[in-house]
Amino acid sequence: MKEVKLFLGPQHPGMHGNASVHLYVEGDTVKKARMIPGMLHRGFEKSMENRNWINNIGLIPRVCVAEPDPNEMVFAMGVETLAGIDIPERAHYIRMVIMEMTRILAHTLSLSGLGSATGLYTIGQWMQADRNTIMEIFEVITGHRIYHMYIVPGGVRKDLPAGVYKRLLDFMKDFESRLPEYEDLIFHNPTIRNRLIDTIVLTEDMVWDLGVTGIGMRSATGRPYDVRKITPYARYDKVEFHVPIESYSDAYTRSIFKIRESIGIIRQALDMMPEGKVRVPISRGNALKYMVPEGQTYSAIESSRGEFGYYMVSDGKTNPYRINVRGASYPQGLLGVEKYMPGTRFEDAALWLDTMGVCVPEIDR
Amino acid sequence: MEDILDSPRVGPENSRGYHVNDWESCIGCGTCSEICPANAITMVERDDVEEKAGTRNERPVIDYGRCCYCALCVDICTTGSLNMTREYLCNSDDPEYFYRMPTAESINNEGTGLGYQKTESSDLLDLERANMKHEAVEERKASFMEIVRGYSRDQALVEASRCVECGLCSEATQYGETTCRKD
Repeated sequence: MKEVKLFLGPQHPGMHGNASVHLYVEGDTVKKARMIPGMLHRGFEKSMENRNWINNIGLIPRVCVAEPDPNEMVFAMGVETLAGIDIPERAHYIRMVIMEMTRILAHTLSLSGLGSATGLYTIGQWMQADRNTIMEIFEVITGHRIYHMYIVPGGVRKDLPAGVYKRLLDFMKDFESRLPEYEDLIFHNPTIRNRLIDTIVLTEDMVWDLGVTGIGMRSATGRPYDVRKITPYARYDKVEFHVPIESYSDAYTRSIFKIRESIGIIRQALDMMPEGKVRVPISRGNALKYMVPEGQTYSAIESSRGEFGYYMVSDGKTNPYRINVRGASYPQGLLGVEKYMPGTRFEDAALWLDTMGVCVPEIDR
Repeated sequence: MEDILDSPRVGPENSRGYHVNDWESCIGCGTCSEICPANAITMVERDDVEEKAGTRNERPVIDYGRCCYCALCVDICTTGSLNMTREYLCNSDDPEYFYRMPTAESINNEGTGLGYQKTESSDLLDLERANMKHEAVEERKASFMEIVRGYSRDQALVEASRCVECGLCSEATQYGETTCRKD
């Protein structure tokens, strides 16, 4: 049969981001797949070197649009480690709330993508509605909907505004009461089950080969590897949550949402949050002259797609010397597509990218 | 359907919308343009602003095609004159329209009030002075030693790092005055 070349993206509703996957198909089966990144390439890492420490908070959230806060968090954690400062206790808890809110944000967007890939658009619409509510809460807290620029080296920029507790708790109560309905719609739905179960299997060998982390690794290998548990950052060691594991990883297992855990963490964090300051300066002087002592560090957190980290080197000056971004979906997004996408049906290619949690800017940084 | 530009939704109290600048308190130091990560701010000279010692007749112009609404300019504003409003909607088919010099009046003049403002925690200036060491009274009584010890190298670096390098002080000394507002 003749081989046909198809383009998944960049102008394709199933493509999550500014990249293209070139699919070489025979009949329905993908024979060869090539990830073509570079369409978002702005040289994030190089640009960071040309900005001073505080200016970078305007740039780093852009490394991932769907989930910008992990960037702010790892950057702030790295600077704090290098500068050797302890941030106020309240800031830790606020950061945890923000991190879990952004995780829900990313899960809702990912499920919305699942809806587009499977043709069940109701999921997309419902999820976008909830996503909007969370973004409105983000707007109240941080002043913006997508790029919050809220977690900064030294703590968080401002304290939580009055009234946001109630709004957040109300939202979570409402959202939690609707979760069974979502489960019925998505995971008990024969359309989705037939489509997702036993498709796009991620085996343990693939995980070790590529270096997949996050939900992919936990569901394929059964190991509860979660940065929040292994090397707790913020105050994740003070809250109780469960890391779900599976022994078999297909598109279905990877999609089942883990939003309940995040809601639990937000509730506990709001409960345990002490009063006090929310920010300390990272060094003396005004922000244009902040200097971070010489050294290097790797700070990592658990994003919704896996381990997300920054490797940072400082030469003791006002700008970072070098920052390297470890995108959570880099392994499966770049190498994984080439190596393991062949063999799937081409209509599952969009689903492949969605359930593997590929976020293109993490490749293109 | 209602036109969103006719009756725009107002952002929450903390909203990082379009800027307002109080020209009375703005001194034209240009620190906002220094910190801007997007290089969106340029300082433009105004003939209608009187130039006094310690001020400059320049006011910030913001290119909203570049602005990323991070509000670092608000956080570092030395006089607190630059703030943000809760307005975030604006439309024009003229590209020049988005190259604006904020005044006390906001872009759509809706009267929605201020949005993002500097607070104690978001302040990016360092106003705490590094104090010079003085000789103790007992020592002073018994000798003719210089009372003020001066700055050590580290202290001098700290003190220098507080300065935003606006240059207004050196301009003012040409008139025979010292006018740094930040002590």
